[in-house]
Amino acid sequence: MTLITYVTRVHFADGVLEEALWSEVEVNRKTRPLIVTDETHLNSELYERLLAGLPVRTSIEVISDIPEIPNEQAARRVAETFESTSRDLLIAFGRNTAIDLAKISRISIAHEAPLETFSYATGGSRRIGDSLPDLYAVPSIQGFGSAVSAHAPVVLMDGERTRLMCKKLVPTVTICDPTLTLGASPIESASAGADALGRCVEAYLSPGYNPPADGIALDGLGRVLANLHSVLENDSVTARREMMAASLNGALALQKGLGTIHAIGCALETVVKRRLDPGALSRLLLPAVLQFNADAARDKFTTLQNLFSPGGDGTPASSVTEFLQALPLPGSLAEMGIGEEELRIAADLAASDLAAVRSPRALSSSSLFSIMKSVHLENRVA
Amino acid sequence: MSEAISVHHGEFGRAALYKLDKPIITHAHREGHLIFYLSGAEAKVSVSGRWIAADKNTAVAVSPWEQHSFYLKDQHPTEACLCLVLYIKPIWFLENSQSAEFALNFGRSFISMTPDVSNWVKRLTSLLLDGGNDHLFDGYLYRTTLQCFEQSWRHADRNSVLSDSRHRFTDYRVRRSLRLMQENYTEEVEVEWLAREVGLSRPHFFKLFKKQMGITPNLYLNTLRAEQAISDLMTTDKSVTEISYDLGFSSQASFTRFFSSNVGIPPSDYRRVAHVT
Repeated sequence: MTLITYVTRVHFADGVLEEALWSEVEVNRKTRPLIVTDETHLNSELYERLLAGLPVRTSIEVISDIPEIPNEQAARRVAETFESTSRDLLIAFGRNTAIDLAKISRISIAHEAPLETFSYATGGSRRIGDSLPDLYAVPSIQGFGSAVSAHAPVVLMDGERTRLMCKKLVPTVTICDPTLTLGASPIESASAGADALGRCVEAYLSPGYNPPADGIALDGLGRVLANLHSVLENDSVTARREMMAASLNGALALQKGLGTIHAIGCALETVVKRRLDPGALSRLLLPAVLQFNADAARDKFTTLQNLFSPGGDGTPASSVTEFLQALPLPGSLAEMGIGEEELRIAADLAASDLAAVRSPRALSSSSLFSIMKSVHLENRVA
Repeated sequence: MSEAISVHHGEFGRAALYKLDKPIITHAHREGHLIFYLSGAEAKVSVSGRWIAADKNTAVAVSPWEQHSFYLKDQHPTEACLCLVLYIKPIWFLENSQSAEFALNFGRSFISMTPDVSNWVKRLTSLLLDGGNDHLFDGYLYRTTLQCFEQSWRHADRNSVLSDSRHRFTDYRVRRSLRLMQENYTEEVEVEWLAREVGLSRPHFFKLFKKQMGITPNLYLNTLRAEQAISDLMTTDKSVTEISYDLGFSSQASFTRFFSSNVGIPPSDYRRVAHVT
């Protein structure tokens, strides 16, 4: 079916955006959506498609001046606009940032309490009520990580970063249209592919007992391996569809929880105070994470190696390194503008992140530092 | 004169019993379409340029946005064609389609009236004629459509469907023109103006739009107006005259002509017989 109902309601098909959006808005009797997007997507041709998918007589309001990492001020601004202009729906369009901001804005719309109250780290998820406004997510190639996930990062009013995590945060409807990714640049495509690969592998290795999520992760991994390089050479809708399916699998498999790469990424973003490309981080860190966990998940490593290189030599870490080597992404953390001292601080932060708890082998500040250090100046994992 | 005997609106779409003695001009709509012959004069339907019979043996399936027109086989019939016409909302296709490549299509336009299909058509027709069991309507509409949808894909030439649906919405100028029409459908929208607004010559724009959407810009505008007219007739207390002016028609007579030729029956008849289940 083109309607997938695991986790949330996902429309997945070529060219489905316009009719799916129109149908969902119409069937659910929404007439006044607030669109959350960024300036780049607002001025893109894809935005024309989004507008063409809204029923006639729909009144829209747009917020496009959004921060790189969602913060509480921006969420309050969205909430104020939502209320002052009597909106009845949020539509998040484009990249992860816009979708994550819309997610946390739902809480600000439904609750007056500061977002800190709902932080996952302090057990606040249970305080998130049932009266959140509906959110439809329409991810571009830069938005799959957030489009079906139950979490979102937020920088609080006091500057501290935390994570909100609750299944009520999952968008009410997600529209995945592979034709939206046609024409995406090689860097964007490589980043989305490496991000999907990292999520699938980390979800599979995560020790929780969740066979459906393991199956979804392995299926996604197979799709990345079969299509990532071809999508960089040939912008075909078939390969794009497969990569979008892989990204969706990676995001759905996160039901098992977030992983080490996510914990490191959040910590590094907190330290450098800017957004970092999750695909670039995944490409650098995944081999090191695999090497670190090699002895802690031997059976799963056998399965992975059979997928990476059936009957071949090597390890999952070396196979991943080889597979990702040619991608047009940064070759080291230093190339991403991250200094060694920043790695040390990030290692401490990541060690206290609940996402790191899901690692097959227990992580510490020093092991996290070692993982990052191994790819600080060059990717030395082989 | 063509007339509506019964129209029911439900969750997945609507069903109408029509007595048609006149052609319905080329048009298209957002909904998918199933046309079943019941009795009287036999008919034929042109679906994207291919003729399909609507008679005892064959029904007609039209995918969303596929252009089609309706004719009686006999140009001077002695009786009207009684037919059951279903309008299936896109959400039905999205929830039931098996393919990620062409989510909004029937596999082919030709539907054989198998015993299963005939049974569901009889049940739905009885419901529309007798009334009183409105709670069954959505289920009957769903099952009838599913029977035809599954049959259409069992015998489909998938490559042909793919090539038909591949080009939709890919050009930004066409997308921009769709938005312009949605914003201005109550005005006198000239194709010349649309072409200029999206930076193309009139012939180039016309050709590009037809290639991508399968219908002309004028047909798309007609669809928007017909959709809104039906919505206003069903959901508001506005008089037909008010609806005419709200939709940009210069008189009720011109609106009635437009509605009759696109929907098959006059708007006042539609409102009289239609109800929501």
